[in-house]
Amino acid sequence: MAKIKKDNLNVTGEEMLNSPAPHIHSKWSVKRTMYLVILALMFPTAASIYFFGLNAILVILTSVLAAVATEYLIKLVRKKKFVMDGSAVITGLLLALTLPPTLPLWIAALGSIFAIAIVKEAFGGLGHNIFNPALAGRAFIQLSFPAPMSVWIAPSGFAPDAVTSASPLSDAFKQIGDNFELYMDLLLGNTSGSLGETSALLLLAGGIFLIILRIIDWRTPLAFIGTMAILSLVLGQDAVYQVLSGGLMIGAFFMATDYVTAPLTRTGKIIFGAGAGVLTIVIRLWGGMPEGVCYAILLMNAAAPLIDRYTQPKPYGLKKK
Amino acid sequence: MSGFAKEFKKGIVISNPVFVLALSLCPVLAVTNTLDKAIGMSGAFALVIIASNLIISLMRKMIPDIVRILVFIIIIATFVSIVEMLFQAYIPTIYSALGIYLSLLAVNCLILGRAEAFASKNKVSDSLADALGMSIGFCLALILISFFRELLGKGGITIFGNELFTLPVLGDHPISVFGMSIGAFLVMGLLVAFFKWIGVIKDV
Amino acid sequence: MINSLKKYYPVFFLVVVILVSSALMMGAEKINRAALESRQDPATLALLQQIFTNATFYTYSVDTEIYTVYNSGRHKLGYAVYGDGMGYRGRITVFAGLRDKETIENIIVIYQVEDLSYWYRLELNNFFDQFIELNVEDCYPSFTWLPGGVDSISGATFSSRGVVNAVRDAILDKLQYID
Repeated sequence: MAKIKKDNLNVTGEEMLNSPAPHIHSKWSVKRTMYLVILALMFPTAASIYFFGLNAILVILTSVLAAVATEYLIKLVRKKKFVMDGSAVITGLLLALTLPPTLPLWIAALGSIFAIAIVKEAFGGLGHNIFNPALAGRAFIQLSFPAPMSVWIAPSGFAPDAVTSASPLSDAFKQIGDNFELYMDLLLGNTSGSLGETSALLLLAGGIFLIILRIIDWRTPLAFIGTMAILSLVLGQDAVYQVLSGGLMIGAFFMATDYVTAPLTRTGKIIFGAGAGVLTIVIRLWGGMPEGVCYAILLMNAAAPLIDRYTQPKPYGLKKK
Repeated sequence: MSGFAKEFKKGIVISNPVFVLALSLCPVLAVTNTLDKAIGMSGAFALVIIASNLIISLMRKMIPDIVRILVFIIIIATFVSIVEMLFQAYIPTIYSALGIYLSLLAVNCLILGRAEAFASKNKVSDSLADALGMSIGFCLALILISFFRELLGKGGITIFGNELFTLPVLGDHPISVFGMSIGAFLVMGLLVAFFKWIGVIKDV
Repeated sequence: MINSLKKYYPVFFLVVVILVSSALMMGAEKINRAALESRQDPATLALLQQIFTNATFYTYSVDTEIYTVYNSGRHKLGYAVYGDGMGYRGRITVFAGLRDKETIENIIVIYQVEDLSYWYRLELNNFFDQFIELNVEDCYPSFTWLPGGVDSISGATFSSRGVVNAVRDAILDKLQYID
């Protein structure tokens, strides 16, 4: 493979190449892609505001503002140009959507700061991070503050009296109501849980919007959700319930498809999704925590370079070894 | 500059054992979650490295080349055992807090490294200066790391049972990640980055 | 002659180093032992000496609440644990010594509020001698329908059972921590 000249790789002033040539020029710039992702994220954001009211607005605003401010400060300190390309907004928004609504705001801000400063900028900024910043931020506050991170309230909109309730993935919740009602609630988002992961339908809508625009690849979410469904059936679990509950939808569509931290090859994307699905179900069924999507994707992030290496397509004309 | 001062200064900044050489990270990562343990470990480390450097430098002409590593390890292990027994006798709280990591000093790469690379080749005064500088550098690094880890991971600073101060918000909700080993890597990495940024540590 | 001996210089040197190092460590151990022994609680040590006659030194683990007892040569004699049981009048606290995982060395009663006349019966009838070298598995109050065990003294049945239960309380859940 010919060595690529560095000068050809400049996109927004930084080296952005992460796969070998040839490259097709796309009409999508980084900025435009990011804003379309934000647009897609508006579906679950709207749902979270509808269901959790003021709490949701505060957590989301804090998280996004902290993320953008951290990125700005770090660029200032490192004497680099700050580009408002929306990636910090996405990180803040995604992080906020995985947080419980009653989280103290300073913890949400801390998560954002960690996500941007340590996970993203310390590794070299956009395009160089190993782990998904939003998920790593969530893992950081989950490990640090387990108590406030597991307070779930029933959705009550803007009503002032929030009632704490069990998270859908805890056992207590499973006993309530008959299955159809439970599924409908999970689908529409009328359950307790993290801000953005309640409404499976709106997350699905956002995800399909991105797939139609070809911003994300359909393989990762399909492999992820498919593996989850098949494995839950094989292991004698309620497949519909496992797929609709928890952070699976937001994880599969918005986090596992992250350009930077997921594999680039098509086979690699399928392996990535399937691996995350297996890990998620393993953590949910046998792990110490009720939800495993976050750690599953982070673990697969770590494996992504390896997957890329083994699934690299062979150049035409070369013999397979 | 005289040889003594040069060798002494070297260990503190230019080749700080933790931040620059990145040696002996096992005790650094394991015992820095509280300031007490860091101070205890620094003390034990200083005693062992000063004694072993001194003895090895004194005997450097006598030690046959073929068994030198064996002799170094015996000398170091002897001093570690002595320090361990003295710690158990006189400061039992720190002894039990440090646990296995005190004995692990016997296989500490930094101590053996200084014995092999420096003390066995240089005269006594230089070796002593080297050991002093290294232990001060090690001590400073451990205290810096453990200060931040205890501050963030426990929400306040407590030295030998005396509570110095508690942070307002973090006192109730400490960021417990910094008490775990992840926190040790984070704090150490950030400190190295900071020192490089202000120019204390030069790129090698 | 000298040249042929020179070949063995490294071995000779190593032996000297090892000898000196052992001597140094022995010295340090003497200091260590003196300091540790001076820190012992003499009252506890006196109690332990009632169980293990040769005891001169003990260590105490805060986590498992087990006393480990040593003789003057620092050889492990056994373990000792506190335990409570209910007698006729109230609590009976014993200090139970274990030789190893299987055998009880001896026990002493630390605290009891039984009626004196009944308590004397236990002592007069050599009740406590039953515990010497008792197998741990046989440490239960005997009943007519349950053969084996520690025989109660007639007339002081509740006190007897209280002592046995105190010993059981002391040792049973600690056996997993000792080896």
